[in-house]
Amino acid sequence: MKEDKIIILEKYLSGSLSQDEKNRFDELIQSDPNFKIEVEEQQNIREVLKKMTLKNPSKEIWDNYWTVTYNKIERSLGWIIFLIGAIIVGGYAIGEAVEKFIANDAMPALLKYGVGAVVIGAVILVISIFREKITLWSKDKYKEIQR
Amino acid sequence: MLNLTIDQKIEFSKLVKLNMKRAYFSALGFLGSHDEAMDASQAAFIRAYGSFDKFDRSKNFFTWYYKILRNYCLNVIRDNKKFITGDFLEWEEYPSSEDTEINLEKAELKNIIETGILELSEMDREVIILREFQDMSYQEISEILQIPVGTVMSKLFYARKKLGKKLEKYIK
Repeated sequence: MKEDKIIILEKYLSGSLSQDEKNRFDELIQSDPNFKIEVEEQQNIREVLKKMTLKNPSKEIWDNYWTVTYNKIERSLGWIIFLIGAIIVGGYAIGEAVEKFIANDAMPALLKYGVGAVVIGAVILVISIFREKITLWSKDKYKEIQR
Repeated sequence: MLNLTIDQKIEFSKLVKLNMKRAYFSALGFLGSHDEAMDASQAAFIRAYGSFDKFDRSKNFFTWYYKILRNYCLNVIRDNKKFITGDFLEWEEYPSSEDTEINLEKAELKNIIETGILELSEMDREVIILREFQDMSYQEISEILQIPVGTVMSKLFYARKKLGKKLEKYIK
């Protein structure tokens, strides 16, 4: 069905026809049997749908909605601050450890190379996983939806 | 998230209380389950809180929030990679009948409508939920979905037709 007829039909269903549109609607009902059938069909479907409503949770859930949401906000904030702190402390500790490790003359060179290889391998693995995650994210078809 | 003033926090809490039902029902239309809808609506509010200082006060809060919610729900649907089933509708006035056959028929109708809605495309489902179950005007739907009013009407018309095919037995 053409969009102008759909618009007239929808306006009729929502009771928002202007006088001109009402005249056009009456004219279509008289002259276009298909339009009349569509109107009846849409009215009948709406009647069935009107018998149903979305399930409404209990009053208690609504009363606690903000408290629960606020608790979740607070926890998210807590985690962010905790992670920032952990990264700073962890980074500092790693820096110190590496410095002491390199400066330790008592440690055999072979052990230093071994530990160095373990660390470099772990870093490569972490970078690889992050790269994969970023690639998946960049292909996310919903990422452009504005927040 | 950290730099909201006390006034902004109070304003945000008021906006959550004002929009929580619409948010929940919108998510319910997408996800079809109470728990998922509750989680999604709250998670979207948390994201909204994170960028609330960037929210343009001249705009409608729900329109802005809905984009976050929609994005979140679409990601849930995509990540779950399963057909979301649900029990999310109820009778406007519950028809109390002692006739088992009538009750079964009512239960079947409810199930057909729920399945029919969940089988619609995401956009069709959105317009049906927003218009038929949340009583939003065409203009409001047009604003939150950022599509012209005529397109809203057209999508509604065809979405109802798709539902109508499933409801043939129950339509006069």
